[in-house]
Amino acid sequence: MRRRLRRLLRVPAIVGGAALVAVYLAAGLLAPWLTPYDPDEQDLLAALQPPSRAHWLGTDDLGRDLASRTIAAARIDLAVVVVGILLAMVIATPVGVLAGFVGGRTDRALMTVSDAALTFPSLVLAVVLVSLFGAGLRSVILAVALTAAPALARLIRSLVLQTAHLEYVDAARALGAGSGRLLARHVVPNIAGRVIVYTTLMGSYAMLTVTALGFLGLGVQPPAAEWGNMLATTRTYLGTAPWLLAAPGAAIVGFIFGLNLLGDALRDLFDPKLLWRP
Amino acid sequence: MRTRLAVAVIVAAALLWPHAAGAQADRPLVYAQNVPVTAMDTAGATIGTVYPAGYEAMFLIYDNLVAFNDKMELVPQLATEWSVSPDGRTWTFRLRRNVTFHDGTPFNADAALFHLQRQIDPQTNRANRPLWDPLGGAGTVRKIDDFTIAITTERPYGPLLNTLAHGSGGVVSPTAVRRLGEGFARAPVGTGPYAFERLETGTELVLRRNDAYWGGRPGYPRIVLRHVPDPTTRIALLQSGQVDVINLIPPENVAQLQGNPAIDVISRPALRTFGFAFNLNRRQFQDVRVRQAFNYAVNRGPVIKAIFKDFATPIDSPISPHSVGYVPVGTYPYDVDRAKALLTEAGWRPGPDGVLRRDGQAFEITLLTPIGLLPKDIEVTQAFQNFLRVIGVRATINRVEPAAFWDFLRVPPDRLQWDMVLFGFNPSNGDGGYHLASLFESNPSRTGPPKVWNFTWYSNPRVDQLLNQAEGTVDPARRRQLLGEVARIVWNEAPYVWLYAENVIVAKRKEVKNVEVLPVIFTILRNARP
Amino acid sequence: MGPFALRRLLLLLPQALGIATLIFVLFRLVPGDPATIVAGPGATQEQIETLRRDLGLDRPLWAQYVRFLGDLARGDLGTSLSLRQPVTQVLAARLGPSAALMAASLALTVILAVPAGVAAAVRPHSAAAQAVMGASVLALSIPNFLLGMILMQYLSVRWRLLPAAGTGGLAFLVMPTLAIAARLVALVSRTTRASVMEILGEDFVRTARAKGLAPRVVLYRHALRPALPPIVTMIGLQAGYLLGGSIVVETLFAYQGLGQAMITAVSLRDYFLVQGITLLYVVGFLLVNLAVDLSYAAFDPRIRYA
Repeated sequence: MRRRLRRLLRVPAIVGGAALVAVYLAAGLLAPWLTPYDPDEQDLLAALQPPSRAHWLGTDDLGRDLASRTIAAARIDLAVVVVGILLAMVIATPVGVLAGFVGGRTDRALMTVSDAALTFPSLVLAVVLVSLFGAGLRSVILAVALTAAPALARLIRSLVLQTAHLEYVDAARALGAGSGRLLARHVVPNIAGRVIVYTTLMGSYAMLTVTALGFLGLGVQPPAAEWGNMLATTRTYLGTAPWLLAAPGAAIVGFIFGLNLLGDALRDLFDPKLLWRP
Repeated sequence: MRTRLAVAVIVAAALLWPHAAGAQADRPLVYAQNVPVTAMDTAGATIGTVYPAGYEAMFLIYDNLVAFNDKMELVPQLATEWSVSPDGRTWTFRLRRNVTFHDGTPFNADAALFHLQRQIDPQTNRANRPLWDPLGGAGTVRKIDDFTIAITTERPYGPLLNTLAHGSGGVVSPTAVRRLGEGFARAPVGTGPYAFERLETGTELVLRRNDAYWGGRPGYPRIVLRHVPDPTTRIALLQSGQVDVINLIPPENVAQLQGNPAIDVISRPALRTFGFAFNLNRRQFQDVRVRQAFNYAVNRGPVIKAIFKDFATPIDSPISPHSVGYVPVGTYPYDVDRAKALLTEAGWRPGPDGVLRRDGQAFEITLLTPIGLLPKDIEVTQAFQNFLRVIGVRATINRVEPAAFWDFLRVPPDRLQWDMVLFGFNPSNGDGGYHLASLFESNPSRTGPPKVWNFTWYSNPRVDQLLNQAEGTVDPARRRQLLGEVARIVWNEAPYVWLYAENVIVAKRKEVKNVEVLPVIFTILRNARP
Repeated sequence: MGPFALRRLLLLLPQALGIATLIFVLFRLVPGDPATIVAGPGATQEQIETLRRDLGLDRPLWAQYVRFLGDLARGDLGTSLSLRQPVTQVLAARLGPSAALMAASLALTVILAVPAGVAAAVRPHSAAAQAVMGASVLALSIPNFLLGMILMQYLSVRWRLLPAAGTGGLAFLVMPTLAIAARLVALVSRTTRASVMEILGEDFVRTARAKGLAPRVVLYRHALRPALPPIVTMIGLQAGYLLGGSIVVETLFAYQGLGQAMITAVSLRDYFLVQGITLLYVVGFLLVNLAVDLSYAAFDPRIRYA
């Protein structure tokens, strides 16, 4: 285990990506203490100010400090992504494990339902869900979860299928180990690593979905600060206040870049051949 | 190879894609509006939904008996002269001769009477009742001869000419109305400089030149009223020359447009006043101290400066200084301490989280606002939400699309889904009495929607009495006195948080001449020429 | 046409039925009474009940389903309440611009990404290859609407080269296409590079070279064809992104296609229009996947007869 960790740390992409993501997570957790101003505090006479000593990243159309809002938005965006992906895992894991392990009709039934969701392009599904359940935080989390879950379920299923019939698992089964024990002690630990890797990659899709919904006005609603809805305001003032673009834009790009870096490198590393070395 | 072929096909297809208003001679005049035209019947409840686009279209298609000019003076249009009897109740109009409707039928006294009766009858015209009811009741409209009519009102009605000049005063073709019935609203026929050609709902309305127009040859072969809801797009289209006139320009873009030598910006103080209306059916708003507290909590100066870039003025009356009957009646200076004191008096105390509480209930309200219908609606609502936060009221914002907005207002009191709503009223007949009556005259019944725009369900018998009196007064000075009294009462009772009157800002390309922008918000293109 | 293609086409009917059912179920999940929502807040109880009868919402669910399928078969997708037109009419009007946008994005992707990927595969350590790979990492980190706004800021507001928003001719297509295509170009160029690199290492390529064939001939005539399946797969996988991306980008650029219509319809609670557009998107997605599957048969004879 420790050997594996050391091997991971030798890859610059992993270290870099992880560091970047960690910075965001820290910002999100510590947001209330990091923001120089109250993100909702308006100062109308200081509206639309370019970056200055008083406001490092400028102010928006209602005089709110952009730096504070960007940090506060980190908290909301990250929370939505994390909760959404966790929810997706809660849904997808039992489905995928059952389908892969039990097989047969259960497998076909579960995969039909899961594939049904896959017939929708994910943002289309997200928009439809929001249109049905109303815009706002809860709908976005639901949309993230339901667009990530089917692919995740399929993935878990194929990983389980691979693992469940490996020689040593068959051996354990022959020795009389029950299904539960097989699952817990052999299947799950072996696939956990790769599931985590793919979850990381899904995190970046989730962030794209959340911010896109926010931009469309269908996600987290103003005046709550969220990178997507901040960019929606930016659009109105593109000619007159271009600095409104910089902070939320850079924030989104930085997070997705870090996550992609981390996820790609982990995926390259967690090749099956590597994992099965004892 | 195949890729290259595909590329060529796609590029060719894209190039052949229909360009908007290419460089042809005889270009139409294209006017980009923020809301679409959906109906063009001067009689009808749908008028309110498409404000101001519907009226702007109707001013092109129809002529009125009398009309407003650029300075809001009343000038002849289909009536060439008029006189009023000594008792103030009978108005005699001489009608213009040799005028035909777009369908070829003649305009004469019969047509004028048909139009007037149609507007006066509440069965055929459910909108703008305060304008037409005074002509009903025991009033009559009579034909004197083929080109003279007389309108006699039950009581003297001062703003009669304002009513006739209003958007709903456009004269319709009796033949077409009888023939088309309900369909008339989407295939209107009038006597105006431009005739209806086709309507693509939600996209554009195309009007063509009325070659037989009595007032001289209209300037353009066609006028296109195009629905472009997004202000950035409207500005982009104007700057690239694809449209010629645009409305509802956000104040922050004015400087940029003024800097463009190819474009003229027209800015005029308008008659529309804004405020946040209270839903007076809610218990917490029934105490006048609470309502006044909200008024003291708003700092209007910075709002006007930051959000409107000074293209608005604070108001000191429910009606605009440019409306007929205006008198300044008061101010609510920014005074947070006074606001808090009033709320304490009314029994509200701040809880541990800063939010006011009374009898264990927190002071939480919803603010309704449309998106992009009223100037800077979202920004103003957010600013207001913030002002409320400072005095301990927690407000949540509900936003609706423009088309759905009116539906939230015109419902019976038990179906109101909001606590406060942003609203701006424009007395498009220029008359302050009409403004006050529309918003503050008691509604006749609580089982149906408000009669006009009194969706706060404000009711004060003294106000009703004064409004009634003012309506029957022809003497302007006396009328102003009565209306001033109404304004004073309403101002102090504060059924609204009074805000500002904004400037109407319109932009056009330099080469388009004679674009008139009225203080009643409408852009008049009747006399425009290239 | 081999048995594979035939089987694949026959699958269309049950797939279509499945989609219709899914959409039916999805749009009945609306919390609250659909008739009240569709009628709007200003409607009287009478109007709501009339609407309920007209829409058949008072019948049992299975009857509604049958009616729904029947309407679909006849091409009746209901009426858009916000635009007061049949939904099919709105779809027809908005399909063209969206199709143009997606076609342009695909075309741009193929024109840019494939040669870039090939070049990077042939000379993996050149500066150009590094630049391409670096740029693609960035392109994958920028959401399309953010890229669109940056393009708008420079190409339109600063340099006045293009109109900021709207629909019309080629000029209105440029920025939306670039905004959507960036991600596709990144992914396809990476896939092309990886795929071509793998093929270039194969024995048959070395044989061809040993035979004395010019490198370019080897590349395009022999190496590219077998390298295509993963590239086509990647494009197919991105069909969902193309459709979803058009929604956001069209809204940003006020480009009057299906995506922008959908967002307006959602905010106006115009359920029939949302349903109609969703149906069209899903069918489109289905057809793209079909095209991708059929193209495998075209590339690889082994699959054709499977």
